[in-house]
Amino acid sequence: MKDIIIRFFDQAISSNEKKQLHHWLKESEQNRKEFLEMHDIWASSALINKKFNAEKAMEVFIENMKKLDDSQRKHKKLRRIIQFASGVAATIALLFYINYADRLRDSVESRYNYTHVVKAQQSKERVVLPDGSVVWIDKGSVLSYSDQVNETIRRVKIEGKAFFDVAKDKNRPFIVDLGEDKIKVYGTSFNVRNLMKESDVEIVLLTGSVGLELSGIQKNIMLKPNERVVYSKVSKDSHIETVDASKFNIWTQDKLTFDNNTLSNVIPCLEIWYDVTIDCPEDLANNTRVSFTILNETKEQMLKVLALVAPVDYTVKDNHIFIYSKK
Amino acid sequence: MSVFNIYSDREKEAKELQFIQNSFLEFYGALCSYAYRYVENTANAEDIVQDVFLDVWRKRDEIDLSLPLKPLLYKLTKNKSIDFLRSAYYKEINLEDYKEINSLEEYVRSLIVSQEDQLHMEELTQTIQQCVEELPEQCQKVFILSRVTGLKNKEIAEQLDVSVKAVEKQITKALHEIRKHLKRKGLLAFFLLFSFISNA
Repeated sequence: MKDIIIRFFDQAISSNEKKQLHHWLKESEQNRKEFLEMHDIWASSALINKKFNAEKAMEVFIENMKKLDDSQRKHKKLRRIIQFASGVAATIALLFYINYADRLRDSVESRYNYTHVVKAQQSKERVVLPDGSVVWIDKGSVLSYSDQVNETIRRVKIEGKAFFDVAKDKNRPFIVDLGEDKIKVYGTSFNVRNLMKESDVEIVLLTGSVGLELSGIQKNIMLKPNERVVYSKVSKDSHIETVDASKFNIWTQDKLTFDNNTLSNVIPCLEIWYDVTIDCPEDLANNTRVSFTILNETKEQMLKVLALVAPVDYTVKDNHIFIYSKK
Repeated sequence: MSVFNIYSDREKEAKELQFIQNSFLEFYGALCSYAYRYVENTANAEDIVQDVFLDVWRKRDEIDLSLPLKPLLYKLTKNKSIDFLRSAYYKEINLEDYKEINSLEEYVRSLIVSQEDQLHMEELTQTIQQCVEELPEQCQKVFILSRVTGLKNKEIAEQLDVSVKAVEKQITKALHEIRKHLKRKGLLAFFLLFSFISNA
């Protein structure tokens, strides 16, 4: 019988022997036990000298996680990020993460008639509005505006991310419509971002002053320079904190250059440039200096370069990047 | 959601990511070995384990990550291995000779699936390796050609210029010796969970 078992393992068993083996197995618990023990030895011994490479498999796994999260993200709410930044003379930066429920957008569109729609298809674009205000819109973003000339207010709508340089006109406030929420700017400039389906609004102000009319909040919020407000359209909570707002409009530049800067300086710029969150141990960030220039590189290309010029490694999960020291 | 929640969410996500990656590195090899016992193919075993971890990641909000992950990982690996065997089996069966020829394979699969969990595949493999090193020369050679190189008995016979019967004899001997050794070490002390299989 042992020969037959071995022929079974070897897949060289005849159909007559199969019947014998089948019968033998059914005969007793003892037989089955013996067979299973031999099977386990047979299976385990095939793994002699075989090592499953966990590190390599981990790379595949991280890719798989990324794909999974991407597909799950599609179901999440639209996250809109509106960023307001510096003016021609004054500098205002507002960073807006805003929820733009579709029904709200519809109601805005029915209330107000935008005659021009600009979509930045390939790369970021610079648009000059009829009043002389300048708007940078990021790739994939949509700006809607009207001719404005004879109107008492200037009004625009942004989906995606944009940076506004608003021409001064004290008699005609400049308003960004965000559905239920509005941003009023009295002749300065700002930057708007509307990226993904999410429920939070974040605004960062560089210099100047900006008024926010937020739904669910009785009093209008006035932002001071270097202040950031985060507002949830769902819970109506808002929170203001002080930040270094000077970097919030760097994405409008053509390139990003670092010359012997520490990672702790570089990372906030990269976060804004790529719309990502980057985590890095403080020690590493403070003690690692890098020099490189970014033009059109994707974040993946940028990370590869970073790992070349600095002793660091990274993992990416959607828009969250983890940088750590190379082992 | 306040700004604080946003950051604690990020922190939570970072922690979860760290946790799953650590678990992956810790259990990957053992789980692959475990899956191999069922599917007997390293590539399939690795695919299954990838799938297991992806499942854990997908359901991380439902899983209590403060509990040890190991039992869950083994359970998922076993279930997915069985699913794999089932689908592979139904793909290859030919209805005409299904009863006659494949009933033994099906029966053996049900035996393998129903036995007590063998969680020490890596240890088992290690011990077997030690045993193999102590086998008589010819016996060792045949066994290594069979299990490590992956040759069929017929191919081994041709290579060593002996009869297939002689190869079978050596392998039988090797399995016997290894089994004796493992029993002494208590590594083969499992039993059938479902005795109804005996009536199948």
